[in-house]
Amino acid sequence: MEQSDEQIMLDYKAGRKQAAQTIYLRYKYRVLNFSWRMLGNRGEAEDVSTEVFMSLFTNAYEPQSGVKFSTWLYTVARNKCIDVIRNRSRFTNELSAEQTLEHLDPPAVARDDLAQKETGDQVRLAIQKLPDQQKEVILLQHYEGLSYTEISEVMGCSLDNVKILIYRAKENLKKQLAFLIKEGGQ
Amino acid sequence: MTDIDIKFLISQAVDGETLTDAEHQIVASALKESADLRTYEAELLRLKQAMDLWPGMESSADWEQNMDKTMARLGIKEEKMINRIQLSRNHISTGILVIIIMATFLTTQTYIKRGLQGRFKSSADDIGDQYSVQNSSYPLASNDAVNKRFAPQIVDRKIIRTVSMNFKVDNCQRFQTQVTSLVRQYDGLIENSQIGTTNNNGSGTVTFKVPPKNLEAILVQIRTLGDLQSENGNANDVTGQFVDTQARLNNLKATSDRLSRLMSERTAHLNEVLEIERELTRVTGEIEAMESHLKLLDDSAALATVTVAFYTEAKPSPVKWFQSLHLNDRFRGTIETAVDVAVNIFNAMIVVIGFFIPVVFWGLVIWGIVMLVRKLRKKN
Repeated sequence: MEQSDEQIMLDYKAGRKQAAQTIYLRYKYRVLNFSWRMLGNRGEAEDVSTEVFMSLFTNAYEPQSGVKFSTWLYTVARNKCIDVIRNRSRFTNELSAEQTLEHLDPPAVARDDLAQKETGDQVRLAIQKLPDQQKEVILLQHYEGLSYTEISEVMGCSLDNVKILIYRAKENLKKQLAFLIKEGGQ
Repeated sequence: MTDIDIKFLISQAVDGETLTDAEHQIVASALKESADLRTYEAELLRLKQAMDLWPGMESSADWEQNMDKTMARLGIKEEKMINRIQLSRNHISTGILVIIIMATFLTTQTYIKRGLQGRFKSSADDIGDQYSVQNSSYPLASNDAVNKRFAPQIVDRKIIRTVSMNFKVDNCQRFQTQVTSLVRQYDGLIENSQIGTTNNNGSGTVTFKVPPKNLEAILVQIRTLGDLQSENGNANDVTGQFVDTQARLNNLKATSDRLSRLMSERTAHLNEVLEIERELTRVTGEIEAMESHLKLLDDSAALATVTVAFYTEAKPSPVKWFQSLHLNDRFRGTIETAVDVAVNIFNAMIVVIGFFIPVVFWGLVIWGIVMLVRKLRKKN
């Protein structure tokens, strides 16, 4: 049976240093992708991910505290992303969602994939255009698979608030992606 | 329960959240009765599917390496293992370099000697004699066979084309729409599109990819859409790089085959088997990296990239001129300054009054005492 994150972190605290590598392998893509989707920039996402794992390695997480490990990790990642966004707007003019986006995929894709890539781009743009909190709940819920309760812990707000944010985010996305969502759409 | 409340529940159910039995019943009966809610549920499901089309990203090799080093420094990952991997990578790179240099040297030497032999047969040395017609004990190949063997290889050229254009336009929004529709018409893909306004000027860019065969046609069309200010084209021929990588890939594949054969034959020592297995894993990794590099080159050459930048110049108009005076801001600033001055004067008055209260108090006390003393003196 797979060891839980909290058990692994107890091992790490007890001095088995290599336990942290298991956690790193388990979460590196999740943290990296969450940061990338929040920030829309690979360089910044990698910096944030490094800082998140440094916090982890330097014993910032307390397994005995009763806080679920994944919740703690996403909270740290979210706070660091928010810091980056704040610094960004302090030093530069506010950028539009399109401007902050960076294209992830290799420069070209096979012709057959063009349509799908284009749709993916439109979804990405639609999510990037959401207000910050709505974007966060969608990323945490849909892409990171967190439950509503976990999201409320990560964001430090009530469960009802999370429900409302998710509902509004979906309504916004439905409007923006109407050509995909409505019956008879693409 | 209102429609919104039921939609909340449907949304939660679609997201896989746990509902109570009562909530389940409410949702089930609502869906049964209302076509609108059924549509709402279907839309949420389609939205969920659409959101899956935004893929995640892989980590970069640099980042992975930095994290490895960090973990090694903290004692999380064995430094020995990282060093060994890096060492073996260095050995392989050096080995490949030495092989390429030796092969180049031998080939050049052989061709020079063969050339010399052809021209100055009398001075041919022993190596050249191996190739001389008279001394050769091998049957001579026919002309056709020789031509086939030494004919230059016809390689499909790999050229990465990029074009950038800059336009002055009347209407940014319309221009962007026209470019976008042309891109679709010519089987292209919009990679990035943005538009914005600063002061009264609009500007934007559209970056797209099109098959090279449609490149010239779409450029001709786009040039007619606005006032072309500048245009730059670039064609980067990566055929050499492509062919070189392909050759190295073939070599590695041959090595991999040999190692696989060794694996299946060698059963004597476990250490040897493990060593071969490690080497095989490494070679397979290199093969995958090269294949992905080749695919990247191939894909980059398959579509040309065009970046179209555009801007509008603000036309002077009385309303805009009036707005540009920012009178509102200026009056507001003056009024704010006046209020600030009034508040400051009031504050200063309070300070002055505060300063004089004890002075007046003690003045009154002293004046009272003086008056009392005078009265007493008069009485006396």
